[in-house]
Amino acid sequence: MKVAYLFATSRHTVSYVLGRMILPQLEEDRHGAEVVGMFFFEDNNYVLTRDNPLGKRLKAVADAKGILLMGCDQCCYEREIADQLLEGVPIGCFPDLYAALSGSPPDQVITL
Amino acid sequence: MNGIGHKRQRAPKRRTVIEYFERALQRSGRPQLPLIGPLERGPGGLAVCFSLNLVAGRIRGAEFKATTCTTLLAYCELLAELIMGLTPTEARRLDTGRLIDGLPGVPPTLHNRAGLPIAALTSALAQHSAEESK
Repeated sequence: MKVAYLFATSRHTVSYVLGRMILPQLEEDRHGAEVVGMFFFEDNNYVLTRDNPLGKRLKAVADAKGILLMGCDQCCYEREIADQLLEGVPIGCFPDLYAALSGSPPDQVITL
Repeated sequence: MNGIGHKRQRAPKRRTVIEYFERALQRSGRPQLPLIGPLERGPGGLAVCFSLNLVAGRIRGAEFKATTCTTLLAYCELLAELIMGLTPTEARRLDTGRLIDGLPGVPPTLHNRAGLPIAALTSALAQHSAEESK
């Protein structure tokens, strides 16, 4: 099953759900589903900035497994980090996200 | 004032991308100005149309309609501010580099979105020239 994650809430979803659950499972190849993409809203975008340790780990896994990482453009502009993201991580909105995932569309889009 | 008594055009205050975007959103619902340029289309379904008001040979009003891409709207808003008070000839000299320099927070992968507002403005000005020569 292919899934995409939208990190939309501020419930420790990045530091906890991604950082302590999803990411370690992906690193250990035992997540249980094929993750094709992750999209980040609001403050969750800070994980995508260049010096973020969790972001660096996430980018390494994403590169290895072909997972799309994308930040919400408005959210990144609002935080003035749009041009400070990890190398190769784009910003965009839903049309960009769906276009990027069109080659490997997810079976489920899960909002966290 | 310069030596021949004309006011120098002040450079617009430097704003962030999101500030330009929010200013662009405030134009929603405003009527178009008399000189309506053609709709210029770009990749990904993006489109821009500029309308202008010229008084005594200078641009005194600019409005635009554009698809709701944050980056595109910010570039359109910056361009609309830059052309105020310019003659059509002066406005034609503005290029994508000017827009890119004016919005340093846009990542390089999205610099290409500056092309569409320039194209739309160029079309509107070309239409004005064509009508003037009739």
